[in-house]
Amino acid sequence: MRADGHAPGQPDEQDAGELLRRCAQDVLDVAEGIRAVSARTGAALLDPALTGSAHRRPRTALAARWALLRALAGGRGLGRPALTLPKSPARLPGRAGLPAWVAVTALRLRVAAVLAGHPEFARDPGMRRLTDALAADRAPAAVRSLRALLRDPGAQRALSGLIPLMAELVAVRRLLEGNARTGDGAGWALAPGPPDGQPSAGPVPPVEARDGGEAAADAVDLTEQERQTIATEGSFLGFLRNIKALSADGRILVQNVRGPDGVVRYVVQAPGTSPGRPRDDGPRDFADAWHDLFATDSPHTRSIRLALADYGIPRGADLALIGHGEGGTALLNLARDPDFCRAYRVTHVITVGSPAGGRRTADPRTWVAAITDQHDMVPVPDGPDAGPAPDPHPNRYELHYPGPAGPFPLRHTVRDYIEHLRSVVPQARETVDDALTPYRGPVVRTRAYRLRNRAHPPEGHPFLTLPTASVPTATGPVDVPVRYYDSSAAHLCYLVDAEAAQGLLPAGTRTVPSRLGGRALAVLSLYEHRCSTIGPHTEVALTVPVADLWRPRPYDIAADLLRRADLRRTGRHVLSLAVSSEEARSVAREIWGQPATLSSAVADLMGHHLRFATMEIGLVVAGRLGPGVRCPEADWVLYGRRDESTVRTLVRAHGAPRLHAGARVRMRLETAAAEPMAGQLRRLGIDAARPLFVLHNPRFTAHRSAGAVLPR
Amino acid sequence: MVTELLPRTMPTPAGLLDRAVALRADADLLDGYARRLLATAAALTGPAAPEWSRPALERQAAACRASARQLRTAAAALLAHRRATGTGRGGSPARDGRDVAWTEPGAGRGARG
Repeated sequence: MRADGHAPGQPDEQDAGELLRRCAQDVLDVAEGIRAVSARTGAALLDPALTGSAHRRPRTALAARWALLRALAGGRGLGRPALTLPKSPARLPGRAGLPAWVAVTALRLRVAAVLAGHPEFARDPGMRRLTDALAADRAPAAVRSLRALLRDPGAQRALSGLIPLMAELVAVRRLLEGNARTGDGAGWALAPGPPDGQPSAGPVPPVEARDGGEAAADAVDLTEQERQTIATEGSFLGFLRNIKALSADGRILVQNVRGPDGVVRYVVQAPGTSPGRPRDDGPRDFADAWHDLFATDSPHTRSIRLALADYGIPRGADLALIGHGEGGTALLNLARDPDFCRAYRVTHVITVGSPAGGRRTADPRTWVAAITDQHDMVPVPDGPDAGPAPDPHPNRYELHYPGPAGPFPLRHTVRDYIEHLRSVVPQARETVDDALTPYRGPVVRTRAYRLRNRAHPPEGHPFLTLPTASVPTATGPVDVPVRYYDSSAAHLCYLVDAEAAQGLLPAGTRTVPSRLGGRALAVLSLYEHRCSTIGPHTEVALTVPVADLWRPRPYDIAADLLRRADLRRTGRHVLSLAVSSEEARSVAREIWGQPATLSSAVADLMGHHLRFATMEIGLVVAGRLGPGVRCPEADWVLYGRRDESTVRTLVRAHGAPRLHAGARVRMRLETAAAEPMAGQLRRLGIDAARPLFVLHNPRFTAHRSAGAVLPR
Repeated sequence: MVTELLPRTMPTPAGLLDRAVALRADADLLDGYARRLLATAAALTGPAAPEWSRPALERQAAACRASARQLRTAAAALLAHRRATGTGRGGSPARDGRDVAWTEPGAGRGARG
């Protein structure tokens, strides 16, 4: 339920969303039509009948060509034709023109339709970047910024998460590009798709044309903690819990199960993508990711085949495929492949939160179950017409149930599906368990595989290609160093009273604030981590730069800034920290010794206008950055406390930070409470002060080491 | 020296006429698109409709109509060129009949052989 008393997806919002969605579809159809007209006009301009006769009547030929050129390249003309004729002498001149403008309008309407039903989607990083790009006052500027966004390699991850808009994004990108890419077959001319957002018309281009991916699957060991959570008995919920345990980094699980009849059968369990976490099997861009969802041959399905071959499943063995989200879609695609079904007998395909959409398996005897929550936008992007295939089939069980209302990303998690199968739709669990009777026995063998796509370097390579070690925490094992693949940060630096800063540092230690002319510095750091190994989250930290713990000297922080980060003796002591995810809180407290609390936040730190608002601690930072200058990378050493020891954490960052005057950026406290951070901000006088300067890093990658406990 | 043009590379009389006919049809299509955009703009009423949508769609409808006019002008220019080059002389009576119907007033100098 939202503050206005409406729950997302109420009838009035559905009506508004449906109207906008229909209008968007209509406008996009018009854009496609105009593009076709543009292509035919371009063909007329290059027609040999015209070019071949020009020498006979140059004046009339010139007039005809000029008229055609004007229609294409005039101020609001049809734009550069999408058609590139074979052996054409050169690209025709002109801009993307009218089709692109109309397509951008269609996309804006589609965005409005999605936000009408799911306003929480506005906070999605991809949606934010898209709406920023579309918000330009004039159509040509919006077309330019949208084209730049769609081509930006760094934006592909965020755009891949815009599942409800994906069909339109792919269609609009094609319109903006104006001509097909090399290797694009007819499949790239997919219509935007039916209401459920799936490109049902037209073939999917072959994988070589899209990606040329080199699929790979590496067997990996499960951690001790994971071994304890893996189910030892075959059951539907047990398999889903296995998927939940693996969903952190996109591994799949293959198991042998001895059925009640004593026959050993095989179960493949594939998790979906985890928004905001890195993946090594990722396609090149968002359009490839979208098309791979509907292809029987994609890097994802290839790597699953390799895993099954490595596991040693004999030909003709019984196989049950169980997946969530994208994993379920990949498994269903495998079951649609006649070659795969000749090699193995696929008896069951069970998906939760996957867009099954009535696709048929190669073996008609395969029992298919598709379970989706109406509030999950991945299988059912939006729109009341969307949903499972209407025709009943004896080997098909489809359930599209109304789960509890809630924001989109949460409604797609496998954890929510498990909970719903226990409490909301227990009959679905019983039905699937009945169907899985041959697989309901003890698990004999378990093996996990990590899927890779060797065509691309690992994400974050080379800066984030690091040796890692698994550390147990209350929320599960965490790989350290923790890696941040896509983050933004703003560090607001204040001059504060040195005595006040000293008063906030831990008593009984020799930790003293670094001094600058009798004053100390305090840094309020705001972070938005859109993709990290501990998931997406926001972070706000209040720190005080402190002197060398053993040999404190005046101005040592200034001298230390000239040294490499790993040689520095000074650092920033974390006074308080608020993060927006439980996993991040566990890591901060247990690994880095930082006093973290949980607080959700709305952050927008990528542009020149900073916005950061926390819910629970009442901290709001807003303001426009002035002109800035480039400065060196802001590597830091962070100090925390665990038990009676100091914990030193090294933070290495890679980005393009800029130093700005902070006069226009304001922080305000909207709470009377003192804990957890507001009281410290007041004692330092930051609540009423202007920052001395702001160090802004709109996009960077970083890694934080495991905390090293210092001997004091 | 006379250069002989192979039949397959010679401009076909029907080519320009067909192009002109297609341009006219496309102009009509664009007019239809303009009407569809205006109808969509009219349908976008109420609080759900974004403020920017109506003016944007109306501007695009106007641009569609302008493009339709330009395509008709281009079609006329193509026909004029076809008449000037005399490629219409070899055309069938039926095609020439279409040609007459498409000739704009005052633009028929030497149009037909």
